[in-house]
Amino acid sequence: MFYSTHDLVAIVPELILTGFAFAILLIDLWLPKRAKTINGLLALFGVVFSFASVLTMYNTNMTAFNHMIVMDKASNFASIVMLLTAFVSIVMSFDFLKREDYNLGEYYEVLLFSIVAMQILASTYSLIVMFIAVETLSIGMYILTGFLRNKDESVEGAMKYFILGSFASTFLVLGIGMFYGLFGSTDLNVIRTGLTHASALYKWLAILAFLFVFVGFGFKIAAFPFHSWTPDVYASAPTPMSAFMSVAPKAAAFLALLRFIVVGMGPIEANWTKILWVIAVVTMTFGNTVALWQKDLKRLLGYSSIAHAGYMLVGITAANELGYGSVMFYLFAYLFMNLGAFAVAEFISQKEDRGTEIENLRGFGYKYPLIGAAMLVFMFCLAGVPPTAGFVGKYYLFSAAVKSHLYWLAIIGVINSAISAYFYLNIVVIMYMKGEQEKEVNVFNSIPVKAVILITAICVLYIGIFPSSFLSAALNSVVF
Amino acid sequence: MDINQLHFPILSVITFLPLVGAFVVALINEEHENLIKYVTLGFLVLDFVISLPLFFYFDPTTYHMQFVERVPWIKSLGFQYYVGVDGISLFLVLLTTFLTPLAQLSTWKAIDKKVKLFNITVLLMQTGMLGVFISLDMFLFYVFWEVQLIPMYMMIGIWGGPNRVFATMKFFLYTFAGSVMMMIAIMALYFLHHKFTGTYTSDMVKLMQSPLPYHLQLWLFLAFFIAFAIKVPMWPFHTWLPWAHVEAPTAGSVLLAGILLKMGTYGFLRFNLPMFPDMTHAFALLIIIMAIIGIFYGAFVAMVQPDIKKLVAYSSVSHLGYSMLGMFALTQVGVEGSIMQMINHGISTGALFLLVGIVYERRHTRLISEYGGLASLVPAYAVFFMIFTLSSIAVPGTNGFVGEFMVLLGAFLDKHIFGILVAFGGIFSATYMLTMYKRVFFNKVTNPKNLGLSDMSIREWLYLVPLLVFVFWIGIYPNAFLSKMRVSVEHLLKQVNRTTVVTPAKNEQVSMVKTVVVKKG
Repeated sequence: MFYSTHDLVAIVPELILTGFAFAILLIDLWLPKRAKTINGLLALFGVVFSFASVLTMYNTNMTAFNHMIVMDKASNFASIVMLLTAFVSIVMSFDFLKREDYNLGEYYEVLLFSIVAMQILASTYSLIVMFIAVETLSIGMYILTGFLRNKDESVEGAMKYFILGSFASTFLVLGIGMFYGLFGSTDLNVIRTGLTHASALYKWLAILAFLFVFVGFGFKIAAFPFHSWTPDVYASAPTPMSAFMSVAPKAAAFLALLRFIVVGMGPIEANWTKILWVIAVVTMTFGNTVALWQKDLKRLLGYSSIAHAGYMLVGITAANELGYGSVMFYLFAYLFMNLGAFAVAEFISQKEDRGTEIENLRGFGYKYPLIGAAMLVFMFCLAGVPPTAGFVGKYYLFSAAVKSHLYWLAIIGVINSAISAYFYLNIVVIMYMKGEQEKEVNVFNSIPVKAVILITAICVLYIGIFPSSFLSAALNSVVF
Repeated sequence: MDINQLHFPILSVITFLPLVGAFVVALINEEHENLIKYVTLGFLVLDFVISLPLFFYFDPTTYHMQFVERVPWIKSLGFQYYVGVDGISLFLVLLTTFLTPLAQLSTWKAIDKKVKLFNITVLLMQTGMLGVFISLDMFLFYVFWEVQLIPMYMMIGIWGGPNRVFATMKFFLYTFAGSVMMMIAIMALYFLHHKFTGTYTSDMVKLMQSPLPYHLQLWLFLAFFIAFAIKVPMWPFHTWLPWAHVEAPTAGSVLLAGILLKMGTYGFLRFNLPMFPDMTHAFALLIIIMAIIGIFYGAFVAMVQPDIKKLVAYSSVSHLGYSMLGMFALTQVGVEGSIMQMINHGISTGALFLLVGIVYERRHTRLISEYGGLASLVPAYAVFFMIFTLSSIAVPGTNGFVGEFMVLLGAFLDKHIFGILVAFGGIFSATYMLTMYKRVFFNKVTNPKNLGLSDMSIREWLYLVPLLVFVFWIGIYPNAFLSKMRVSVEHLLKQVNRTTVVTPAKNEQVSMVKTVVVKKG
């Protein structure tokens, strides 16, 4: 084992974030209570610099640390999604933490460390590195979920997340162990070679191991039946963190899943497409059906994120380049629509992060015309109606399925779209068509939050109308 | 071949001018309601004026798309911003630019809350509707097809009647469910076309030229059929329509009946007929039977409606049945009649909805039983109503006659029995319209509340007279319109009547059974 300093180039974005995280940890000690926002600004700078380094090295293609870390377009694309998400969530956190009186440096520091873990997860072909990354990012997520430590739901959500998450990790590590036992390596390329020449028994064992590993990933991307933590955690976590969690870890986990499935499990494609077909169908149908009865906006977005994970699994099930590319594109589009919707949830939230019931949006469209219009855009976008990014994303996901002749999968997918239109539009109905709010509802009048809402709405429309360059980037990124 | 005789992106201008208008209106302070109304009307009238050269410079001797614009849009998949019109879409574009300002003018008093938002909605809807008719790239078509749902959804939901939320949800979900099926079909068409011709294209003109082999057309035809049949709406997919019409504000009903429903019939002409000619022939009989059922069903149900608006709504089901009948008769005169019927329905039914709106504005009821003897109270209104009623029941000399006669002739030429059978439909439409007219306008004034009714204002004259002009223009000299669509319709029928040229390879069967394509290497 020999590492050169050159290897460090491959993890520059991660190093920058780590540096800033440590800086926050130190500086926080000397900051007076009213100046804690400086922590947030530091975290923001860290994200920006890391983002800049990803952009400058976007076309780099290198492996480092004995093939344990890779930097390619896919990892960079996922990094961009994660860093944008982090940026927006940090902006959403400024006033939020002040209001909740939890303005601590640890919040930003843990956030930055978990992004580092996500970036690592997205840039490796080694199962064991993936496992470490998943664990690291999960710890960050557990902490952040329970960050409002005096709020029972928040702590309860964190506990649930932690217990279920640990349980899922054991499956993940068991699967990895089986792969190591079968093929003598945790490197996906080696596993692939081994699997190509494997005997029938080994193949079946590999499928079993695949299922175990999938439990781990399925937990992270909230696929049925490993989804049960999602609504609770999304509803109880601090809103900016729910927003962050609904996108960034998913982006990382989806890319890791793609690498695992496409590269490692390539030889048993015929088997995993069947398994994923079922999981994709059940996931999206479950998410959309249960969301029909939700009364709380954050909880609804939780179920909706299960459904969206199902849509993205359709892209993977299609098992063609268009499908993989559309998954990446969808993550990029999903970033804006979901963060926007969560920002609206934050906008209507009260102290202690309560009051996000959908009913509180009554007459919202007239009281706050711009933000109401933005919410309208997000809802139509999540439902997949043009001219929004959500439509374009869904179009490519399903057309990838059609390309692979998975007609029923695509049909079930669009039927799900139609079902989901009901509950997304129900929010529009409450905002515009049910008259005015009777009781006075105070909103969270934070300028950064409002800015986030409006800018993400514009992005959603812009990507929906001019998707060409983003789509090319996404399609080109997934050449493994 | 891209023809643009004006060397000017006229179609983009008329499509996106209302969008610009929407932004301008959005900037005006909400309190200046009159200014908002004038600016909106100004944009819509300007839009109409700009669209007029389409009529005058249209070359009726070619079936090629005209006023074409083509810009690459989504490069990695080859989608284009490709727009143009031919003899089929020309009049639908003009109908849209013509009808929307009139509809907007009718709302000046009727819409008294959220005026600004309403006018923005109207302008956005205009962009969506025009986009559908000019798109020649199927991805673009689909985008516009869905986009115009949003303003209509808002319009019914915000300014509609007491059951507006249910009505608008039903409208949206029903249409959306249909159109997502079309989305799958569009994707499948894109990939299957590549399989047989080696090129990826979403260019509708190209797709019309090279249809898929026989055995692949079935599912695609059905998917498009569902989407368009819901939109038309054909019996038995019509159940959303009465709800939407009754709950929608007047302008919403006018645009819904006048233009949105035409998207369905237009879709049949653009997709089902030319792209799946074999299935068109295979399904023609079934669709004709459904159309005939629709004609009679709509008429019978209209007869028992206590509500004038609901009556007119059901008459739409009946009238569009004629349009579908003419289309699937697959004869030159039938298809031309079908297009004429679309235009006529837009004018007559649009006008009837406007008229119902006028009296509703004054009395806030649409029940036939609440009225009676109006002819003596509001004579001018009664005359207008009479003329449009006659046009709706296709009395010779009015536009309705031209369309309906051509449809009947076309159906007769196809199979005698259809023509003979449907000719009786005319009797029923006369029954329900004239009965309603009699009960509302003749006899003595029974309801004292009606005594205070005022006759039509100048503004109301202003938006009904233009429609009146077209009732007689089309009724007396339809050739001005027919001559422009003739060549395009001929070409369309040529496409429908060809035999499929591509021979299918045996292993290229598309089945609904899931098959996984395993990559090699």
